[in-house]
Amino acid sequence: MGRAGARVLVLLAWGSFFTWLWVTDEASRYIGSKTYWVVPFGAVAIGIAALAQVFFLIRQRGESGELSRREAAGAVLMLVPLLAVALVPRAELGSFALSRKLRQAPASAPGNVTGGATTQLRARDELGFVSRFESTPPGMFELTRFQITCCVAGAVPVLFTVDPGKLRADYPSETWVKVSGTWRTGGDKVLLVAERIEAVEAPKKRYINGG
Amino acid sequence: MPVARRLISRGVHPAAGLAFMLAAPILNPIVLLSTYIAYSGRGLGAEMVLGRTGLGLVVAAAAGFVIARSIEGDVLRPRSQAAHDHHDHGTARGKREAFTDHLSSDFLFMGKFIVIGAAVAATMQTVIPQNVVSGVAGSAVIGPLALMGIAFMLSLCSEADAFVAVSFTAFPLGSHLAFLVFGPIVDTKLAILYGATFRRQFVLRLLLAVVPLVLVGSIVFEALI
Repeated sequence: MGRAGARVLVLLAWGSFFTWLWVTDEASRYIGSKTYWVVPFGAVAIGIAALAQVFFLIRQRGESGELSRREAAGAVLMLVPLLAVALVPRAELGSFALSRKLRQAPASAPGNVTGGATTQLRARDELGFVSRFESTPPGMFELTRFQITCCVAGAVPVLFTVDPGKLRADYPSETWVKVSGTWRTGGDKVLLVAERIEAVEAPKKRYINGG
Repeated sequence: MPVARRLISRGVHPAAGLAFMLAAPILNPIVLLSTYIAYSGRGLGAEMVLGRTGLGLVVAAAAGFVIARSIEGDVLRPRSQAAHDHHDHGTARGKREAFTDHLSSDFLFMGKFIVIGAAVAATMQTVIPQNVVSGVAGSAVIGPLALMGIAFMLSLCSEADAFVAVSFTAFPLGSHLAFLVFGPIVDTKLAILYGATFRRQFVLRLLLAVVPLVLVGSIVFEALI
């Protein structure tokens, strides 16, 4: 394969990837709504560049020079991310990512929770996945969701503690649930006293502000 | 970086080209607006925008000047033109071919270094938990340095890093400013791109110029607000 052929291969692969993201709405797994414009732009721009390179290749009738080892390595490197997506198509942030990041809100402590004031603010169908830490009060769990602005690299976990009371609370970590109830606050701690907890399927757009 | 590279290769003074490259990720309306939005909830939107603008401008100009003077000869690393087709830029067809060829060349040249940088940044995010720096949050010197290290590791876009920075509630605002100014100038991904674009030791010289400036700026900012 010559140099031009390798170029065409890489551009076609990436153009196809951006097009796939665009038509399937899978971009929400990787980027936020504010940067979603990259997907259609990439599909169009790289697609045009790929087609232009095909025309050049045909016109030059394959006379584009030999592909050096370094250039071949660069081409392979460019295809590695696409291979990663193909091998792990449904990747998403979960408890492991949560353990690596500083959280948006501090974890609740038993003293603050029991001393908190009950508010009249109702919470309806708060959606997130179950997670638990060493500091999570016994019998309770944290309802977590990641918020992304640009892309998953900058995802920030947003979470609050759920007090299930007498409701079932033994959901395994990373189970997606919907919780309705009443907010209770204690200083800067936030607690949701649940009146209804329902296990649900993971939403298609897992992240807040997902693209 | 491709823009700065082309500016310098066409005769713009390296100090100006470097200052442009370092300032552009910070000094643009989208980044400043997102910074304001992220910190407005704490009533410090205007202060953080002014701090980021002022310190970003000073650091970019000073770093560009210092680095350009410290490197003898061309600051740019020679780039292979073998893959670059020659076009007649005078005709419409030539211009179209030149446009698509430049687009393809820049995408393919930069892309492989971005892949490497992203892989290193992702590995660091996976292996190193962010709470390792929580213990130094209160230090006036170590705190900003720690968040600069986090910024280097995370390799975030400057449009979104303010929303991440605001979550570092244990750190004072001076450390936040260090995170917000240092990250867009140099991070894991950018360090690899710089190495591919500029001459040897560019990244080292950049760090030697930028780290003290950002550190001092963040301490001054913390004292002023």
